[in-house]
Amino acid sequence: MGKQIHSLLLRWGLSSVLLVLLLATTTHAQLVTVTGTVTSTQTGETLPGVNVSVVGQTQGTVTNLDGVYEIEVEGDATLRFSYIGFVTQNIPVNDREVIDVVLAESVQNLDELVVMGYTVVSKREVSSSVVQVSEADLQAITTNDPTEALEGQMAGVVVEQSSGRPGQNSNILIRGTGSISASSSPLYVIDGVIAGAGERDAVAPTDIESISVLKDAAATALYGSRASNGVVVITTKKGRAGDTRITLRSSRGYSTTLEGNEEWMNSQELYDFHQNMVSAEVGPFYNRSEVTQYNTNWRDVGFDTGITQMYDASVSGGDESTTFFISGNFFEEEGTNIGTNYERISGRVNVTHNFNEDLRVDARVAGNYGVRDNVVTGNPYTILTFSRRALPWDTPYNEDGTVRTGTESDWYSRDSENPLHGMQWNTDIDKVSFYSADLRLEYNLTNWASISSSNRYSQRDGRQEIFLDARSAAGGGRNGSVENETDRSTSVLTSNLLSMNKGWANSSLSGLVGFEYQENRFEFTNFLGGGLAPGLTIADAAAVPFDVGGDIGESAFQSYLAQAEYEYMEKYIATVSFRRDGSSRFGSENRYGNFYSVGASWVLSREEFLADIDAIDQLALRASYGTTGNASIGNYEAQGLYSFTSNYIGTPASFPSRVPNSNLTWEVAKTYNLGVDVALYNRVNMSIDVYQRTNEDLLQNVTLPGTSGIDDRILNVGSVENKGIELAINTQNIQSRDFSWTTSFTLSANKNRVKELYDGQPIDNGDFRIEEGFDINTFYLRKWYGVNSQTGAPQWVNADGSITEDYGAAAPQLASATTPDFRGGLRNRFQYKNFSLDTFFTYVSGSKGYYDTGIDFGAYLTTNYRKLRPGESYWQQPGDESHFPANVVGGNNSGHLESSLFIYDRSYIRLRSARLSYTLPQDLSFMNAVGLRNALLYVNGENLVTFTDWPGRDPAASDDSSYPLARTFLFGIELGF
Amino acid sequence: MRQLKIVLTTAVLSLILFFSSCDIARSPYDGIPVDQALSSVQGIEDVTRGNYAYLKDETRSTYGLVMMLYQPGDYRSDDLMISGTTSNRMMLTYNYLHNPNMPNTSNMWRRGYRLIYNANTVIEAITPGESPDLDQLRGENQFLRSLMTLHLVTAFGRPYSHGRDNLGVPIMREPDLEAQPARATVGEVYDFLVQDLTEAANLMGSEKSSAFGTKEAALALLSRVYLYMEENQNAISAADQVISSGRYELVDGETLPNYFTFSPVADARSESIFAIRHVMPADDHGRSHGVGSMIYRSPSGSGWGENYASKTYRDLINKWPSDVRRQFVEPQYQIVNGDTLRRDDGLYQYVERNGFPRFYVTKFCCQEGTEMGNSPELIRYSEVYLNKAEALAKLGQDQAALDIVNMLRERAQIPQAGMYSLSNLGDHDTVLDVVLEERRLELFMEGHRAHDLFRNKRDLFRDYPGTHLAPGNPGVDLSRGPVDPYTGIQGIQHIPWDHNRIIFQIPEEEIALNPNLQQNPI
Repeated sequence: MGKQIHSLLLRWGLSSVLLVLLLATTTHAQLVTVTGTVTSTQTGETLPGVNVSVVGQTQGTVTNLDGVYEIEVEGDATLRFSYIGFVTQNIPVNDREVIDVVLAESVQNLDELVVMGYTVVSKREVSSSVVQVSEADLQAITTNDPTEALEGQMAGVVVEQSSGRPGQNSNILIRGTGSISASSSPLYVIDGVIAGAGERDAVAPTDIESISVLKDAAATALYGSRASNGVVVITTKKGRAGDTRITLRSSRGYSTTLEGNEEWMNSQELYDFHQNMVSAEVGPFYNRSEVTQYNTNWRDVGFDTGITQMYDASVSGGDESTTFFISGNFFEEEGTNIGTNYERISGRVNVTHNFNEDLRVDARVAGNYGVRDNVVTGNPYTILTFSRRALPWDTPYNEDGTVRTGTESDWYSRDSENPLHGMQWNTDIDKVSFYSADLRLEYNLTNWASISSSNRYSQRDGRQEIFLDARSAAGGGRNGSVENETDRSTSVLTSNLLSMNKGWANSSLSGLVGFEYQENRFEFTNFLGGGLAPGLTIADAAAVPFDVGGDIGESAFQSYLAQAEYEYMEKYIATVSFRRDGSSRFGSENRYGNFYSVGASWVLSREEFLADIDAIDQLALRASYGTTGNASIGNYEAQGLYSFTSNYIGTPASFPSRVPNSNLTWEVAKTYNLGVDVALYNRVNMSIDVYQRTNEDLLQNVTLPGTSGIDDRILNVGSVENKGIELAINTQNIQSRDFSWTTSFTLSANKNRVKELYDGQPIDNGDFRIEEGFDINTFYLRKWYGVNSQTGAPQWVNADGSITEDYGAAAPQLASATTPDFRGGLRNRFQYKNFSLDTFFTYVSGSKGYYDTGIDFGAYLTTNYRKLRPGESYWQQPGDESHFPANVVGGNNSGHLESSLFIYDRSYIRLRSARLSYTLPQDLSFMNAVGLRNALLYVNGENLVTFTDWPGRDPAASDDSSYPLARTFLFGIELGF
Repeated sequence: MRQLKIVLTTAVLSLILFFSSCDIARSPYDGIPVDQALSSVQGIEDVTRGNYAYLKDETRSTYGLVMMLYQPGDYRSDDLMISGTTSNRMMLTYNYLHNPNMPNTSNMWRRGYRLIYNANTVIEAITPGESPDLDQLRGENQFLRSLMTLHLVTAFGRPYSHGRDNLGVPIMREPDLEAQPARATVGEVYDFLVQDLTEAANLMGSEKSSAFGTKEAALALLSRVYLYMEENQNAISAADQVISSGRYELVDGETLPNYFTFSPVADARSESIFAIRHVMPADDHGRSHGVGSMIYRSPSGSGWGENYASKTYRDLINKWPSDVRRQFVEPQYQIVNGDTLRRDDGLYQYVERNGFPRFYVTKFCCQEGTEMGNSPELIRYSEVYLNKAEALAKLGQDQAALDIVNMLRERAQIPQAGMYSLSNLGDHDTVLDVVLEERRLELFMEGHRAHDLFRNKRDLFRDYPGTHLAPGNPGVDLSRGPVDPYTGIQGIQHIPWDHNRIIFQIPEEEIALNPNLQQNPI
């Protein structure tokens, strides 16, 4: 009851504010119509599209094609002229009717506008930890994944490319892992609105104007319950008033798989290796010297040169009242692993129309359709696994060129199935279509208040089609089978804000109050049938249905939010924000949560005592504290359930699948952030942030003892702390007429510590253990001691520190953590006349990984072995001080099983990308003849060189056995008309 | 202008009012809340069926619970060989290198107790005597609880005959999420099983098919429990109650080789006392079928077919060529253009894997015309006879024991020359030896062999080819034993009955979660 009253009050409070504003009669002082032309200091050319706004008010306009603006303001108002890449100017009107303005190009971009989601502020006024990349930085992306551009560019933002599979997007992790059972993914906001399912994947990189990442609570608290892992704000392009511009882009690339330091034995090497094993005579097969008749390099069988191509066209333009951006894009990526492919076609229309000075409408429609060919899943023998460990003694083809099945008596690989055999017919295809439609209304109630209503519907439709031919081993048992799954995710969201912005001579107050509602739904049906007539692949053709299934999931969020920012003399800025969120995911007793933040910044460089120091262009201190939440759990985790998803003899059967917890609620992150922003000598820009984020009331699947009979239950327990430091430096090293050189460098170090767990009880998870006082990603393995130099046997350490040769008796112990000490990126941009070169390195130091591929001391005889690396050796005779134990047929005393022996350093430095581009001189006569505004040619290389000791393929891959990344060379052209 | 202002503001206000009055509670679609699940007879029936459905679903993978009802008995025995090496931890069951960190034993523990938990929720919800229907359901759940507890105590605790005071497994009598139980002794566990199965048998009737727990299923399991306890008279009396029920019949020799291809409710499967019923084709788990896929590969390539009947078992079953049970082993001859190839030394050339000849086992496949479909039979009528025979032999009632053995051999179409008498025990010293060998032949790959050896304090000798003959494995001597003519391999693995490794280690994760659990010595 109390809660209901509370929300009623809130609701009516909100409404009354709006009503008051509605009824408020606004008194205008003497109005003046100001006109003028805006030009650039450097070129003297007029600047179209410059934002002209009234300080302290929401009113504004933009300059037209000729750089001319016209605005009706009060005579004592101050006009603000801002334009990306130029220094913003504030000019008091003083009752003048003509004000011409000359804008200076900004080197430092201190006046760049930063998109914060609900608000857009100038970089100078940002009082929280926010980083943004804009169009120029996004150009280097050569895949369909826009977030790739963030890797190494933003301190504290880690982009994990988990897989090189075509069409696969990366995971983003901001400032470490704070959650155990709930997701650690950030919240995505697209064009000001919280994204629904699949929306982030649906944005074509070429449509993006900027991506900002909100890191501290001052920036994220306004997103409340879903913002504890940070917020990624993606803004798509808009049209600008002026000539209609057409941009065409085309690129084509070639990729080869990354092999890293991993090398496999050839046929003879493997034969000799087997002969040297202890008791080589026991096995009946590898003594046959005829095994070496074939020498297959399965990596060459499984991988090929992949081809990427992209064609993109966009048209943008408009006039003072209407602007538009229209784009179409085709992307195709043929994977390096044979049989994998992804293609996607996408399109977008963004239109803005100003009905009058006070009413603006934004309409956006985006859609795409993607098709992905996978190597057949549901079949353990994929060419991906074969390409690594299949024996060189096996040949995939018979002499007559037909494909072998793998069941031949002289087939020795672990799995009696040649993956190429099934690949002749079997297919696994994903199809995804997506669209979203936005309608946003913005209306100026008074010259200091406006209301806006943003509304979005988005829908993602997926369909997976798996076909297994009757001739293949996978499909034979069902005489050919077809599996179809269709799913649909929909999201409806409405976000309604009242924004206020009131300015006085020396200060301004801005703020907003808002209400949001979001409803998500996911539904799927699937069908599995068998008995297909040859050549047919649809469900109707299946003679026997095996399985039919389907489910629905729903969630709803309801939110109230408010923010206020006060600025005094452009020196002192303070913000407070509040959000109240309700989510269907939480227990009936705890469905609503409150989140808030406070932040302040002090621009020291505007203080008199620093005013005389020319070297300092900007010096600001920022501090913030706030709370955010994490709601990234399943839809019904709080509700106990007997699930009816199985049956017995065709009748319903139920089984307990979840324990109820009506108190389940948000995980709360409490974040402190301190930051310094410095700009020096008009050359150096630097930001340093230190933070501490403590996630409390973690949503934790607490594992119960097996005898309890329930695997786990979700509770709000425990706490994890992340603290760290982030550094970003941009320098303008050389700036001359023909040559320029800029460098940007980022470094971040995050320290993670689990502070509290349920009952102090550690959580075991495979090779990892989560334990109080340790990093959340800490290995928990039997501790390797070394090789017995007399016998070649493996040795481990017991719990009491003594040494044992019995694997089972050795006690698992906490080992190192995967978390690196620090990481970052280094970008250098060189420009000489029309050439520019951009190189980008990423680096990670102190990270650890587990790698036991291709080393098993004889345990798995029918898989290939990797070659030893420098410093590695097998025990061969008494007295050997070797790195690895002896190889023994059938295995050496479980020496190959999980232990700290297989933890390796995963530090690396990688030349992530290098891009050389050439801009055609604008004065070329043919350009004018064909109407070309600009033309750009480039060649781009990705993942070019990696320096690392990691023994596997890729130190950057979170799972080294997944689809490896590729080294890509890409050629492209960009034309603007 | 003013009107526009009013219209727009009102529109936004209405939007807010509409959505802020929405109830954001959402309920799942795929089941019912916990408090409703057991509140009606229908609900109790659904949950009980859920237990069987759970077993059915746990047949789906080689790491499933049902695989673990067979693995300890079969993979640690001398009936099976593995033709290669695999990272599936059944390898470590097979070669006796098991350790406390294995998903197969962890799954057996966790999922076995999961079933017990669910059974306990039903048992708790029913007071005996309310109605025959409810009594039946309570009995079924007590039966399932006992079945799981018996499998767990056999896998993790030493045989009863090795001492009542050895540690068994925790006894879970009621659903309790907070419990951190210690391991009960083996004696306590068996006492519990006797009580629970006796109660179950009294609560249940005989109406339901072998797809469910019944009075006879409980009694049949009770005869096994008594046999393991060496309470032989009780074992005989429980077995006799099953036999005298008249519900079951040994199939004839012609039918026996196809026995497992029938549905468990078919008349032809009249030996089925309790089976996890799979309805074909809906419940065909395809190529990954938990138990069958490891020992069988269909002509079209379903199943992995990596583990085969051991040479010693084949030699034993081949002693009488007319023995129809030989047909449960399918040799894979190398046939080219219709000719069965022979090697230079005159032996048949088999299709090989890693140089080992393939001998598939067909007890877990081919139900009702499918390639991999199967309804795993957990209690079969002939076991009840063999339980009785063994108990009789142990009580010195030798003739009665031999009569049962001869009945099974006759049914298997072994000629008169192959029948035993008190004066002709073949190459066996005792009647018990005869009974145990027959038990091995009859219940081949049905999860019994290793238990039968160790509980009778008999050592395991594996002197046949297979990857258990690796120098690092316990008890392996590569210089002893016969040389296999086909592969040329020599060696033996000898595991004495009192070896520590005849039982699994308690999963170390469980000890971390429940410090009251004590580990087995390694």
